[in-house]
Amino acid sequence: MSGKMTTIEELSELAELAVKALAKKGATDAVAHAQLGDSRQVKFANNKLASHSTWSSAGIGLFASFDRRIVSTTVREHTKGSVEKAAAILQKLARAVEPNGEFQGLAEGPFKKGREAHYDKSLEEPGDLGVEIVEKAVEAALEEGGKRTAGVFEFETGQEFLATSAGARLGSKSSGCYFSIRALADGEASGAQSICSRTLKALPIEEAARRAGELAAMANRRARLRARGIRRNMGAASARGNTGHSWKRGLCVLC
Amino acid sequence: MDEDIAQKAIAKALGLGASYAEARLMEWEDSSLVMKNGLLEATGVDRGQGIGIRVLAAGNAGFAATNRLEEGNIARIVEEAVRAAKRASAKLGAGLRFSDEKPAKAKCKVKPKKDPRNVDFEQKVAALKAIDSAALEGKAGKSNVPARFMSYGDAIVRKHYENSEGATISSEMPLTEFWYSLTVVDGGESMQHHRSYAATAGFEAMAGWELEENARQQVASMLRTMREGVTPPRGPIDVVLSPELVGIAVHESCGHPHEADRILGREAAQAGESWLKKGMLGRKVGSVEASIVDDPTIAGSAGYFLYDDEGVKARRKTLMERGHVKGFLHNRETAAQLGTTSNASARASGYDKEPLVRMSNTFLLPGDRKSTEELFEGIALGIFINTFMEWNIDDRRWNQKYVGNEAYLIENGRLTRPVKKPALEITTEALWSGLDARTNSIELYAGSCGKGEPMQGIPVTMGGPHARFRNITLGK
Repeated sequence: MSGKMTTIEELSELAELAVKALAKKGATDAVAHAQLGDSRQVKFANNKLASHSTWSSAGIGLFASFDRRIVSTTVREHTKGSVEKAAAILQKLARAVEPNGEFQGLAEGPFKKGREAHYDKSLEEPGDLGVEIVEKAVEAALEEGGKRTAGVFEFETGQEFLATSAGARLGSKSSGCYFSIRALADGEASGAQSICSRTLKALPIEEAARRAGELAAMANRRARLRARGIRRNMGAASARGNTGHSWKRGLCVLC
Repeated sequence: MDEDIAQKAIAKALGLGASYAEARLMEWEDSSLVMKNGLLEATGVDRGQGIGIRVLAAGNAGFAATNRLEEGNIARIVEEAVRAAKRASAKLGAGLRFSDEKPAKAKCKVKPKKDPRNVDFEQKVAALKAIDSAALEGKAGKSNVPARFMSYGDAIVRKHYENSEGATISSEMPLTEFWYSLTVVDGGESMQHHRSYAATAGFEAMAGWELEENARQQVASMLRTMREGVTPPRGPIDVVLSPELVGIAVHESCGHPHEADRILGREAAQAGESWLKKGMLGRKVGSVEASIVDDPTIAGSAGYFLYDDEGVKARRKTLMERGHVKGFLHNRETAAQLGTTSNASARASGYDKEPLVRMSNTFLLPGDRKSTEELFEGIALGIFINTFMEWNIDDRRWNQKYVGNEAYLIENGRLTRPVKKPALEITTEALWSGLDARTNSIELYAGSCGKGEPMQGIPVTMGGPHARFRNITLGK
C-alpha cells in the first residue's frame, strides 16, 4: 500500500498519454476516459438502517478503433507502464477482430464546451447527512400510512477527463443523488417512489416519502374494499395487484 | 495479491472501535466478446483488483470498497464505514449481529484445462462465428434468423478473504460464460430463444456445450413450431416440463422465496419479499415428489464455491423436502436474526458489493422414472414444454407465468404436433402440488441471477429432472 492518493490531474495526464500511445500503435481513433469519484449509499429496510456503503473508484477506460476494428479495456493501475501495456494489448487484440462497417469514426471538432452541469459540493463531505435524510424520510412515509419502509438513498461526486484522438478535451465535475422508497402497508399493499437529481437541493425526498406512504395506504384501502366486494360477489378474497407506483424525475425501479 | 492490505484494513477498523471487520481482496483478468449477426460488435480485456471491507459497529453495518489500494485511501474509507455504522441514530439503529461460525482457514484452486488467457483471441472469435453459421444452416436461410446475438466471457478470479475472528480463505477460480439469443421469423410470425451457459472451468467448457448443434436445433425447432404449431389446449391437462423449465420454476418460485433476507424484508425495495414467512418452516406447499436443494459444491458448475463470501464452508441445503418447507438460505446476518447458523449462502458479485443471500446450484431432486416416455405414458392429452421464451413472477414469488418456446402436444402417451406458446400461469403451491413423477437424472442450466442495488449478477445454475405435473390449467 502506498500512502499517496491518486489525483484527477495524474489520471488526466495518463489519459493523454494513452491516446498518444494508441495512435503510435496504429489506432485510427482513440478515446481515453479518466474518472475518479466517491459514492455512498444508505440502505434501509423495516424502518431501520440495513447498511451504509462507501465506494471510492478510479480508472481510465480506453476505446480504440484500428481501421474500424474496435477494442476496449480499462486501466486500473495508474502508471505510465500500465497505459503503454494496455495500448499494446489493444493493438494485438485488434488483429483478431474484423472491421465493423457500422462504426463511422469519432466526431471531429471543433468542440465547444457546454454549460457546466450543476454540482453539489455538500455531497463531497456529507458527514451524517445520509442517515439524517433517511430518518426523516422513514418518519414521513409512516405518518402517511405506511407500516414498513425500505429503500436507498445514494449520492456521489466525481471528476472526469475525456481525451480523444479527434481533439476533444473535457474535464468536468459531477454530482448526483438518488432516493428510492417503498412503503408497505398491510398484506400486499405498497407504494413506491423514486427520484433523482444532480443536487440535493432539487431532490424532494420528504415529499416522495410522503407520497409512497400515501400510495401504500390507498392501496391498502382498495385491497380491503375489493376483498369485501369479492367476498360478497364470489365468496373468495383476492388482493392481487394492490401496488401503487409513481415516480418523478427518474425511473421507477420496483420490480 | 498483497494480503497485508486486508490485514491492515481489518486492524484499522478494529482500532476505530468496530466489533467485527472483514476484508475481501479480489484480483481478476478477463476477456469478452459480443457478436451481432456474425459481426464482432465489441471486444474487451480487463484486469483489476479491489478491496471490500465490512464492519459491524454499535450494532450497525458499514461497507466500503475501492480499487484505489493506496494506504491513505483505504484508511479513509474504513474510517467512513466505521463512523457511518456508529452514527446511525437511535431511531434507525438495527441492532445487527452475525451468527457464530467457526473461523475457517483454507486455500482453494480450480485449474482450467484450457486457461483462457492462453487461448488466442482469434480462436474465441472463430468459436462464435461457427455458432453463428450453425444458426443459419439447414432449412433456415439468413432471412429466417434476422437477429443473432451472442456474447462470450472468461475470467480468472483470485480472492482473499479475512475476518477479525480468524478466518482466512484464498481461492482462484476460472469462469467461462456464453449467451445467445436467436430470433427466427417465418410467415409473419417470430419466435426468440435465448440460453446461458456458464462453468467454473476454462475455455474447454465451450466444446462441451455443443453450441453449434444447439443453435441449429433451436432454429429448426422454432421454424417447425411457426409452420406446424397448434394452439395449446386450455386444460386442465397434464404437463411435462424439461429440466430447463423445471429449473426456472425452481429458481423463481422456490429458490428466491427461500432467501432469508427477502423473508425478513431486507430486500423489500429491491429484489422484493417472499411468500414465505419466518414461521413457515414445515408448511406443506407441494406434493411428496417435490424435494428441492441448493448445492454450491458441485465441481465445475457455474454456482460452484467451497466457502462463501463470509468465509463459511459451503454445503448442500434442502429447501423443500417431500413438499414441505425445510430450510431457508442464510447469511450470518439473517441466521442470527432467526436464531440459527449460516448455511453459507452469502455471495457478492465483486469486491465492491456487499454479500447478499444468494442461490448457487438449485434443483429439483431426481425421481425413479427411467425415461421421459414413462412420464408421457397414460396421458391422453397433455403438453411437453422443452424450452421457454419468457417468464415473469411477482415480487413475493407466488404468481408466475412461463411461456413455452419448444413445446409439443402429448396425445395418447406420445409426442405429436408442436404447440405454439403455451403459457403456464400458476401459483407456486398449485405448481408444486401438481408434481407427480420425475425421471431419474437431472440437468442443470446456467443463468445470471440478479439481486440488490447496485445490481449484482452472479452465476448460478438451475434444473432438475423431467417432471410431470397433473391437472394444470394453461393461461393465455
